[in-house]
Amino acid sequence: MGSDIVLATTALAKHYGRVRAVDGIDLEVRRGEVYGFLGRNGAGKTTTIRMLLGLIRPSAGSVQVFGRPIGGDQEWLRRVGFLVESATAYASLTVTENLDLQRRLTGAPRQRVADVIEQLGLAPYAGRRAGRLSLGNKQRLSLARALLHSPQLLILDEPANALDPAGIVEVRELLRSLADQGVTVFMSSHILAEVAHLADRIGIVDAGVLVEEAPREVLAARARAYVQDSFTAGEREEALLTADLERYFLARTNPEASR
Amino acid sequence: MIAQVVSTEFAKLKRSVVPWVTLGAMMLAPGGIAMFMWIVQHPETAASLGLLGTKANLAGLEATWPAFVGYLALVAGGGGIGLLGFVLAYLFGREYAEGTAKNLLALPVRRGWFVLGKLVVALAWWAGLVLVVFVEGIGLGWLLDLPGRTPAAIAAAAGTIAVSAGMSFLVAPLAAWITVATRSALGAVGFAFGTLLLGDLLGHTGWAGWTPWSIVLIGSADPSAVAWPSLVVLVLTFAVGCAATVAQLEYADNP
Repeated sequence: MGSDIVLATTALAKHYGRVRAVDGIDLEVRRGEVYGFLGRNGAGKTTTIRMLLGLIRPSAGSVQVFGRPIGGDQEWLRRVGFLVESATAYASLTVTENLDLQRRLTGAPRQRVADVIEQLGLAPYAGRRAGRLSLGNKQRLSLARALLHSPQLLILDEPANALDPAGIVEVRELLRSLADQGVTVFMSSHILAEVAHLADRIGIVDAGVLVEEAPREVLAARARAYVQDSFTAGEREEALLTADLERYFLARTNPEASR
Repeated sequence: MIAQVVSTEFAKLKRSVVPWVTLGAMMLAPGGIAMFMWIVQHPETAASLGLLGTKANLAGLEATWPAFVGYLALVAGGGGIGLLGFVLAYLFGREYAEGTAKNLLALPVRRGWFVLGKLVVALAWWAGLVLVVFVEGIGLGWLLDLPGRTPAAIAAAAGTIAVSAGMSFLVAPLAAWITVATRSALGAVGFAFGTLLLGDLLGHTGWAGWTPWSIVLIGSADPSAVAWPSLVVLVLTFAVGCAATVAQLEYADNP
């Protein structure tokens, strides 16, 4: 494995009886790369992410993070930030208290709590109990938790879940800037637009199998050709209208994040 | 790291109402026992107040310090089987109810340390509750002016209650394992109260000395009645409960 490979899986599989939730996935994610793991609901994205984090054991295959098989003393997780499925936090604790728990367990400096609160736009809610946050702000809190210990690898399951369009743009820009600083991002999504804006490389998973993997530009070119051949001019116009409406909405609600 | 784990486990209790609920439940027990003692002391007054029904049978109940302490020890022993099970079900079960288990288990901390941290919190919590019961019991015993209350008897009472509370703690980790295995507190609460019932039932049979929950109840009534093989059973129950909980978190699929 090359030294710039941060995350790799080999024939990774998870079977529940006859159900093959993940069925032999081979992946390689390079340092500083944003890898979009795209698939429908139930395609096997979350199951894969749980195996990457050691939360569930593969039925077959292996996971290597930073060139080493995962498992053992969990020290490898010191360099990994993550968000699995839904945003969760201790409801009776405030945003700051939730992050401080995480800080103590990861050994992050005290200042990082204030930093990530600022970074994720949570300052107005820092003293609010997590149980009283909106879903979008709970998601921001989960992202803040993932970033708290300045990880070198981010494994994010549907990071844009519950965020409003402006929030999606903010998080997209944040992840892009982290990747530019050398942080590797592995993110799953079932929303193509979210992945298309950010990912350097995209893997499409379906029924537990990686059916396609290509750089974003290559996949975009294939997509354009497919749309050109398969859809009417009216349908294509409608798709463009959706994109235009999204940009206009952002411009009206958050001019700074609209581009 | 273990110090951080323990301190964060205590921090999670901030603003939680559950410790107060358990405190309220435990504080009711000495009050209830004291009320029966008072009824035995003053049957006519109790009858006139409607506290003693015509069919009430308090025969065999003595309003004495040893009897009072015996019931307090039963609260620490038998009550402990139920309440400690509830406490551990809450400490482990909230991680699943609030969806934070997955966050916890993917941290750079050995999973067994979380089990240890939560057991330390449960032990401190339980010790605090038992202390409150003891102090409340002493106060109520003093108010009732029960015969036989000497400094030596109070010291012996403290010992009996501490032993009962300690034995009930030894059987508690099984409730933690039920919680992590079922990913829910409900099963563990049912298990705790079910084993309390089982302990009482089997306590009347020849298997009493080999049944962990019966041993706790027997020991609460008379610590000297617990033979060393029974103590080994309790220690093994503790070890199995802890090992099963750690193994579940380490080797089973987690949410």
